[in-house]
Amino acid sequence: MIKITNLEKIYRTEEVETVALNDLSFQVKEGEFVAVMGPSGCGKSTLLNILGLLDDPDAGSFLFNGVEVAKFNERKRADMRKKNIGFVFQSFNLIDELTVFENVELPLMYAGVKKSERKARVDEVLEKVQIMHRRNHFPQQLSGGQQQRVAVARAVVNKPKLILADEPTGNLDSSNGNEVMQMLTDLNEAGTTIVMVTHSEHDARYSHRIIRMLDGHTVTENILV
Amino acid sequence: MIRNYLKTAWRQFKKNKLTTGISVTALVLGFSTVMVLAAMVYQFKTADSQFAHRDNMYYLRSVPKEGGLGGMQTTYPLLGEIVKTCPQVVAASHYQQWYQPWLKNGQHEIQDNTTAFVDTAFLKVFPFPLKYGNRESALAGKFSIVLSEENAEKLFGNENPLGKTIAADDTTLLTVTGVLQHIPGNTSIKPGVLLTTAFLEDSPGFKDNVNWYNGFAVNYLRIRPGTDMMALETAINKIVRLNYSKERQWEQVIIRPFSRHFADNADEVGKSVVTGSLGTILFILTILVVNLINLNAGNLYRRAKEVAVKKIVGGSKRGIIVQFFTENLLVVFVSLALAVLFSYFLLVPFINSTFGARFGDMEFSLNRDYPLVLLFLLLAFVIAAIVAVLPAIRMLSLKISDAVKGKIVSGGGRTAYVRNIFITLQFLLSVIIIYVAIILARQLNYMKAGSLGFNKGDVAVVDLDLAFKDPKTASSRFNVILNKLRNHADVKSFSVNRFIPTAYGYNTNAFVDRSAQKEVWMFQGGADAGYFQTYDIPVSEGRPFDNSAADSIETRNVIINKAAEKAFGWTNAVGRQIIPKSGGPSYTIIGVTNDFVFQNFPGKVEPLIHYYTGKQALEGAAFLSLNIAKGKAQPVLSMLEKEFKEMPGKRAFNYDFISDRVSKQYQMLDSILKMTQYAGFITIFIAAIGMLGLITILLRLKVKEIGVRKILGGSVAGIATLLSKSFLVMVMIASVVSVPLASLIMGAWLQHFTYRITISWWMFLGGALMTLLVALITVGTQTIKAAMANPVKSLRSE
Ligand SMILES: Nc1ncnc2c1ncn2[C@@H]1O[C@H](COP(=O)(O)OP(=O)(O)OP(=O)(O)O)[C@@H](O)[C@H]1O
Ligand SMILES: [Mg+2]
Repeated sequence: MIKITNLEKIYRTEEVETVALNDLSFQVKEGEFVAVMGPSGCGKSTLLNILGLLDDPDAGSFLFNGVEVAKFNERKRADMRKKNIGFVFQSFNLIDELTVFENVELPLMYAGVKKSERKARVDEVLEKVQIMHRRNHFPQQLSGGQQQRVAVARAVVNKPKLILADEPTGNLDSSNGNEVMQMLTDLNEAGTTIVMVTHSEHDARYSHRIIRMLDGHTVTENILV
Repeated sequence: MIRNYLKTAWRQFKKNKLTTGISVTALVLGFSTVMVLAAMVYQFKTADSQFAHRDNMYYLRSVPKEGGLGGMQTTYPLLGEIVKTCPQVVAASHYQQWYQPWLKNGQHEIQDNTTAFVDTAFLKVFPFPLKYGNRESALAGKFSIVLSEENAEKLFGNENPLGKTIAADDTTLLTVTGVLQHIPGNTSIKPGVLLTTAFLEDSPGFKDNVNWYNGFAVNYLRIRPGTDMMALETAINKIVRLNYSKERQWEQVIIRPFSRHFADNADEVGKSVVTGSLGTILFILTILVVNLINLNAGNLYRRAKEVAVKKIVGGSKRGIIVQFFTENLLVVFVSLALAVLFSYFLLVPFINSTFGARFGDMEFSLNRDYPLVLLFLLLAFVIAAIVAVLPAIRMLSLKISDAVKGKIVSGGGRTAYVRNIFITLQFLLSVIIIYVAIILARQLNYMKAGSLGFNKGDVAVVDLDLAFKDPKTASSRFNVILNKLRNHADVKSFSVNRFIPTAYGYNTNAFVDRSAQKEVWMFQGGADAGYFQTYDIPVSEGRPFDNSAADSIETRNVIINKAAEKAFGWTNAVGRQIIPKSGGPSYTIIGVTNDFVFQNFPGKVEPLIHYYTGKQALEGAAFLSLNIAKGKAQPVLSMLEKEFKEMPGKRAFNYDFISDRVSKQYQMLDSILKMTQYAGFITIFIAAIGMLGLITILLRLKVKEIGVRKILGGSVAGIATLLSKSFLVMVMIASVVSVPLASLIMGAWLQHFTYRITISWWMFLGGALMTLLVALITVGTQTIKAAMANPVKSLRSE
């Protein structure tokens, strides 16, 4: 599903040039659950942003389902993103002005799904992540774990083929963290491909394969399954 | 989707009560001011547009052959001759103001100074809608009278007065043949009473003046469509050449479209009010837009995350722009509605009470003023678009991966730079307005304080035009009163005259100095023996008029002013002879007064001649002016009031002081002053609350920074200074940059005045300090509040 070759990303600010990704290559197959690990600043988030089509690489190739997307323009990327990818962030990134239900409904609305169907689907995922009773609350009224469950619900409501998660448990205690990891595992078993960045060896063990990075480069790959 | 936009908008407003409140307040204040000013300009520009065939309406002007606009007055017989010989003229009428008869229906009496004498065809030239009566025949009878709706109500209440009679001056019975519907405020001609010229032509005082020399007639014509106007004008001037007296042959008559009438007759001050209003409108709109952009941009920093998240989950750029647009459109339209209420109930009454007399009361009717309404709707739309789209585009250009982390919040680099430019621009505009207001106020006060050349302090003016019921007795009683005044210890001097400073009228005539063949136009006035002394007008050469000389000799003597002496090119005028250009025996100049402002407030003093009005008497006099010893005015005036009871008139005993009359002349200037102060206050207020909103938003973003600084040992004062510094620097930059701009604007404006102030540095310093103070207060209080917040709390809220 994902094939990147010799990927490069350099951040240029006024004073310094940071090489965030350096000649990076790997593949992710459909249905895989991959964990990306490495020390802080090694380029994990940068990689995820590129995989999620939020950012473009400076060099290298990125095939998504066999299509070269590295040089896509903003509009095409947005389209591809909307149809295929769901995101989960460390800091949840829910919209404060929208209720739980409305946050989850948002991707469906942008995708032009009819109102009645939207309601059914949102209710279904909210049920699945066990947050149905809080559907009319605002994000600030929820605990961290509950917020992350809402974020997961939002990421999956559109039935994306790929979920990208950047330290999804980073802000959660271990029991809440395990709950979220269990949800991701369930999704993966239902067929969704997952790429997850994490600092936790414990969380990484939920995945099939661990990619270890150092200074913008893969160093080892551990196959767990 | 639209419901979703509205819902999000509503939640945004609730969350940002302060900035929403500020936006709405600024918009309401700004819009209402702009609305009223725009309505005033619109009213001025659309004056007289209610006449359907206005394009066929014309009026006559007399101009010197060399050109210029001249005046509206022609000789009286001209119009009749035009109607007789020019078939292109469909209808024509004099519009003669001469005197105002006292009109009486039983107990109800009126006297209206808009009384006009018109020809039978008047209502064909001016198609005023009639409430009662027949337009064809209303002015056909010699003793017909047509009343305005308002006057009809005063005389007859709500009943239909058609066919009822009215006594004019207790001597003539007039029959009501028509009632005009209410005439809009911005109409050039607003007669309260219409009488016939046939009636006027019978009055002896008028008949004697009708000839081919005297120019006092105002004429309106309706011309057949498609007429060759050049040919018509030539035909009219042929009549002029053929008939005008030799002395008036210098003149030429032009035929002028009625659509130009209102503007032709607006004076310089009035026109400058229109230009000033347009300038102010632009200014206020700009400051509103800049203010909203600033507030929006400020809020967008906070909303960076929201925008990024929406994009990540599939929102389109367009959708996000539409969202911002919807929010701003809501704010703008709600404000517009509130502004309508605000101006309708507060500003319009204020404007009418200050400018009404000059521009006509402001009135609103939808089917006439709808273009203005459409313009405002369009304006609201454009403003919402600008203030929503600019910041939104800026926001959307950010990288999602950065924005979602809220990176924009730190606002370094270009973003902060752009933001600072806009904030400085906002200050710049308000500082310019402050500078303009200060300089304007100085100039207007300077004109008011300027020497008038006569005593404007203590002279009491008693009205003598009281329509005495028994003129004979009144006249002899009056002589008794004058004798008492002559012997009164507290009355230093007095004058019985038709003229007083402020009330000279536009009565001019040309005089010739035979020896030099020099001709000078002079304003004409009259004076009795006490006049110049009473008003402390120095007679610097020669002597004032003498009561003890024989009237037959003294009436051949005249007194001129310095301006006239200069115009003739004399160094000493006393003893010289002049003759009126219109003919007649010569006059001897016996005195020259210093120049004093007799007519134009403010303005240049024109050449002026005074005739001798003879022995002091009630006949022909309009004012009794008294120069009374300090503090003694009241007893003297009460004594006079008692004396006047013995000679009853239709109007009550009435007096005022010349100082009151002078300030009335300055009413227009005072109105402009008030208006500028109001506009200045509004702009500063908008800028100040805009600044308040902005600093609050920016401080909210810095809550964490402030908390960390405090934990690390920063003091409240130190942190507050750090936070306010950049704002105050911007205010200072704005204060300096705006100096040349304001001096340019005001320098050009001051050129209109003969007597003007010079712009000096302290006016700018004062304005700059004022702005700095306002900024210091708004920014200071907010930053100190933020710096004093408990750091533990602020860090947790993150
Ligand atoms: N927008 C940016 N501008 C400049 N440099 C950046 C930017 N984003 C990331 N970097 C730099 O690129 C490198 C990789 O950053 P990245 O965020 O991908 O690291 P990470 O592996 O996700 O670290 P962490 O585990 O701490 O989240 C770092 O050195 C970082 O400083
Ligand atoms: Mg990271």
